[in-house]
Amino acid sequence: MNKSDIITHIAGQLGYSKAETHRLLDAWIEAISHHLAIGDRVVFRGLGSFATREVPGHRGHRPADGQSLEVPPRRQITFRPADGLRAAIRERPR
Amino acid sequence: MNGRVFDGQIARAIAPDDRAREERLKATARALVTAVRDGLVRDGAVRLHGFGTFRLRPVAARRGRHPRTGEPIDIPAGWRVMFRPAKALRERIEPDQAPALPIGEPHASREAMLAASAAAAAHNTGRSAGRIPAEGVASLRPPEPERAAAAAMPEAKLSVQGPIPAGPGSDLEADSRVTRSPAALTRARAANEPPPNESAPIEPGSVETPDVPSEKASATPARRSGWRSALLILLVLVVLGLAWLFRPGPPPAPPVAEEPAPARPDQASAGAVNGGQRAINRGEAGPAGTRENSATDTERTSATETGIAETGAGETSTAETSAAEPSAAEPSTAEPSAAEPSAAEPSTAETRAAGTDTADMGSAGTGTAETSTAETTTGKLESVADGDRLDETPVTGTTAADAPDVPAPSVGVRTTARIATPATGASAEAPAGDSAPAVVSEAGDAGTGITATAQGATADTADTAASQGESGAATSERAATGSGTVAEDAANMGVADGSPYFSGRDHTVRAGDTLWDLADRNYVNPYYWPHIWNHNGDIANPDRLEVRQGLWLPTLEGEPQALTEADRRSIAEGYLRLYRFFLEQGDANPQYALVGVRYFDASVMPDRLRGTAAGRPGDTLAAAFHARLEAEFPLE
Repeated sequence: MNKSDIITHIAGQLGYSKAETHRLLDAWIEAISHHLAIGDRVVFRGLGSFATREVPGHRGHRPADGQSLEVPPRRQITFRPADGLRAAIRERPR
Repeated sequence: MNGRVFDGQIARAIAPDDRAREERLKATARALVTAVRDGLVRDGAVRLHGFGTFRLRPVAARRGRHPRTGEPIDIPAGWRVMFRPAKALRERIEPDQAPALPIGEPHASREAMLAASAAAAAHNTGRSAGRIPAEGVASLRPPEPERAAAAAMPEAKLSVQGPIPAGPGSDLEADSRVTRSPAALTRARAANEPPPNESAPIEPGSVETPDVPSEKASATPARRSGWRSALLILLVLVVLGLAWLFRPGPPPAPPVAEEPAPARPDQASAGAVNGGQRAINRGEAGPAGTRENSATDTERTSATETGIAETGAGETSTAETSAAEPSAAEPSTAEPSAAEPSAAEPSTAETRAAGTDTADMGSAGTGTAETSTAETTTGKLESVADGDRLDETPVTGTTAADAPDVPAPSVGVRTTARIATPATGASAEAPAGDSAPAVVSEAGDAGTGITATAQGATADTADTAASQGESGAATSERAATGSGTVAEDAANMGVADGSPYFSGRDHTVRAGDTLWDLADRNYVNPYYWPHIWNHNGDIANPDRLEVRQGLWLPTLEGEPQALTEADRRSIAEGYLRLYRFFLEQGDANPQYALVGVRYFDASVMPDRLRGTAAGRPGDTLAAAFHARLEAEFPLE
């Protein structure tokens, strides 16, 4: 399922036009991205919460040849699914 | 901030004053949740372009232990929801990623952000908003208008980064509020809804939903076709113009650099048309005088001479073009005779094409060429010299004049001279053929007629002149260049007296001030901030204002109601300057600034840049930003 599927889905469900839905969705994406970029934790009800975490730089090695490398510190996005989402997934047959 | 933000708050922030939209956003959020959930259950993966991918990862059955009792428990196989952020998002949160700013927003502290970012997630809240992914335009999700809006909006609302929030009250505060006219409010509201809801026909189904799309869609093609035709016309004109240029002309009249003396009288009058704005530019450009010849009613062309311009004649208002024109042109010497007159009447078509511009990154000038046309026979070439105040160089403009006798249609040429040093006005005539020597003159750039850019050199004015001269073999006028002094001053001064923007006021920068905020407080819209920058040539970096630094806050002529052409032009120039600044800074997506240029006054856009990503109609990013601007700041 990709973005356009989602848009179609939402548009159908809410009766909005696809273009409008697209804009609304983009507004969400943009806003969430923004908050993540400035370090906020974004709690999206029903979906989960997104947050960033700092990964300190460390010494690692390149898997291919084992060469030792310095891995720079970076920031990572973490996602923790909401209970509702987890519950829904739990039902999914394997 | 570094707190926790809930979806409801976000919705409110995105659509601060728009209840309906807020509701729609919320409904979208709910629907999104179910869509993602269903998608995960059904396909095991949901991909949201520009954001990330949710994917289910199988987790094998395992044996765990009860946390309290320690007794072993069998945990059945299941799924774990994984989220992998999209590249755009990853880059955006990357600490050392150059924080891109929301379109026009001067973010005060890029450096600061860079420095601070690594350590503190805290970051500078407000400003990092609309960050643009490094990959540039292409990668950028087509930020739908909304998105763009969101970029700017959220922080505006959420993170109060008000410049000195306290806004030491003072006059500023007061003023600013005043300017927030109802119109402004409306706009603000509109902001969220990029495309105005009320306009187009609605899609079936959507109740309060925007019809925007349709409207937008229709508009775009129109715009596009308009552009095309304009370009076509321009092209034809250019060809004719060139043909005419290269044909042997009468001996160029020695241009006399005359006294610039005559001050440009009435810019005001010109105001009606573009003249005014032209004038302004000129004014800004340098301490030069501006002179305009306007040919036909519609068009305005102004030749401005900076520095010593030859004729300082004022610009003539359109109506009496004919009369005016002569004056303008003539003074310049040479044989004004033919040219003007002709020009005058042909009037007709004016195409405002854009001139080409040439200068390196930025030289800005583009000319608008207007042509008066009618029959080709008489042509009038008008040239505008526009000193553009480029980044910091002072400018002197030069101009070429026009040609009398020739049949050619007139082509307006606008030249920009970017001269750092003072030039002498006298430089005289440009013999027809020679083009500028040392200077960089790019003539005949791309599409337009001729643009000569003089760069840097001092005395080269002559050259410039020459170059132009070349153009105007026939022509006689030449450009004079004014002397540039330090750019800033020049610019400022020029502004001060040359343009309609003599009104305004001084402002002393206080801690926390940003151009964006100042614009927000002084004008109807913060997106007009480049106007301030454009009139404060000494600000090299719009992100860095020094406390106690003096600023000139020019008024916007048409402010409470609508922007005048001059206003738009000034703003556009500011955006162009921003573009150059971005380039210098190595910004990932400098083109973004061009959207502002294009929007406020496309004629300012250097030709060279026209085809660039943001400059091409149809480009998604450009279209998005454009739509947003349109929605937020309707010009008409």
